[in-house]
Amino acid sequence: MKNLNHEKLLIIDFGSQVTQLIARRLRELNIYSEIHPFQKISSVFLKEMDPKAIILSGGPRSVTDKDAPLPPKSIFNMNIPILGICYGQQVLMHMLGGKVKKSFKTSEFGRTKLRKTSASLDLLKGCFRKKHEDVWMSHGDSVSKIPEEFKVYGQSDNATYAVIADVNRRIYGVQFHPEVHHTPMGKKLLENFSKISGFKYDWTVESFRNKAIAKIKTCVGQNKVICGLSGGVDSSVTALLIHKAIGNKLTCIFVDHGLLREGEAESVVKMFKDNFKIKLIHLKEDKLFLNALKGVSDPERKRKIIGNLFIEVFEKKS
Amino acid sequence: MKYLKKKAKEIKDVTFLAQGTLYPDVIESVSPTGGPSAKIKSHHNVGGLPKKMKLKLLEPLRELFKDEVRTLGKEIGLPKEFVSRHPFPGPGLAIRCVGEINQEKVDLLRKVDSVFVDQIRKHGLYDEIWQAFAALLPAKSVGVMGDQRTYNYSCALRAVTSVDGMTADYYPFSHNFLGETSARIVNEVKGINRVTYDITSKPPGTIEWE
Repeated sequence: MKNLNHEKLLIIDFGSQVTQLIARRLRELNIYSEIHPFQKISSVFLKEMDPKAIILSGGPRSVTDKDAPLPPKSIFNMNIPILGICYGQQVLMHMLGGKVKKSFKTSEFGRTKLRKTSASLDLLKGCFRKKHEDVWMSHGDSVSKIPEEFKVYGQSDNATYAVIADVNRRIYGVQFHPEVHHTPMGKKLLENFSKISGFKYDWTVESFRNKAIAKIKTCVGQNKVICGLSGGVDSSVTALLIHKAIGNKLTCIFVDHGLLREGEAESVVKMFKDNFKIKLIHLKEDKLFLNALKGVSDPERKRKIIGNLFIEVFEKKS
Repeated sequence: MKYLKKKAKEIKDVTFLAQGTLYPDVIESVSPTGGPSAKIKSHHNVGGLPKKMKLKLLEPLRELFKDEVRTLGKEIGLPKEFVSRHPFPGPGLAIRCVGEINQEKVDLLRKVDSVFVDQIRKHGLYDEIWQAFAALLPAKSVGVMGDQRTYNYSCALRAVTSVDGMTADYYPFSHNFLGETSARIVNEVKGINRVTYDITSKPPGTIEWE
């Protein structure tokens, strides 16, 4: 199930709180991306994954630290577009001959006005509806010097190098976060980056569905599958998708712990057994769960008891 | 019991265990100090299960985000009302009965919750709200119904808006809505004599009470 052969964008995670949002925004553009922690990235890894472009995320560290997290240098030999965001931009500068200073100017947190410089840049095409655009910043360190091959395309009051690029090598850096909603032009910027990278926008739920069903068929073969149903959306979609692939080689087990909402257990049973004709074992275990919870008032213990009991019941019956 | 034994035998040669793991569950987290050990979050629904069972895992949704799962669900034929249901925690009503639980409390809570959600649906607010539910409070309070003094449970209603569950605001119901809902709950659920509305945001509060 590892990959479904979509074109891939690699997001190297340096620990930003909002890294996941980069992947979300890209999904909205029908681009498949994977987030991997920086420690995992090696030349071998890059070769195997074969991404069409790389985004370096933000992160809480400073590139001026001795043990600052960095990606392998080989990312620059792949001849694919790279976009560095916040800490990611500083990583680019640190590795490519620019300079980053601790609080070079004042730190910026929150909404900031970004101004265009006179030069035009493919990455910013259509991003500026007026001279200033609101962008969301969150940084202490700033780039204080850029290498010769780079040029400045956007500035804010406290970030002289808010947008920089080496157009020839297709390496871009932004100090702000295009992935958050508070940067209204951010999605356009990411779309421009994906155009520069030549993506075909082949990630859609329909294409996922077909490929996923094919994968499940190959993966399962003549074997049998069990699937626990909780009544929630995730396990229900899992079960139904697998059923579409392998039919009655799937058996669902529904552990009813008696702690569901009004009518929920009945509707799960009805939907799966009657509508979808999926093999379903319905275990009504409300007494068992209530007894185990007798006299327990600590929320964490309640959660643990239910989790463990769930496993126990499930194990016994499968 | 016979049926179960038979069923269990029938599926004895099972080799795969399917789980509804989503992408946010499998993204390896970066430790903030940049240390070399990246942790993988264990799936909250069935932590520990695979190891014990010696089954191969089948996780067809592990590349998807929640809203993509909803879209896929609709695509393959799940009813729209089902896939757009509000999130519900694995431990269920147990963590919405604050403190110790018993059958009476769970049954009371289930009724209150159902009246509250019914009100929200009737007023056409269900899809505007990220999550709405009732919590049963561990305290009884004094009330008066008819000419009788009552000493019954009180409940809290919670409804929040959110984009991703990470932060949340309480939903600004009208006073009319709140009044009507409170009256319905006290009238329709015997054993409840006080209704409160939780107006805490997340942070500092959490969405669930426990």
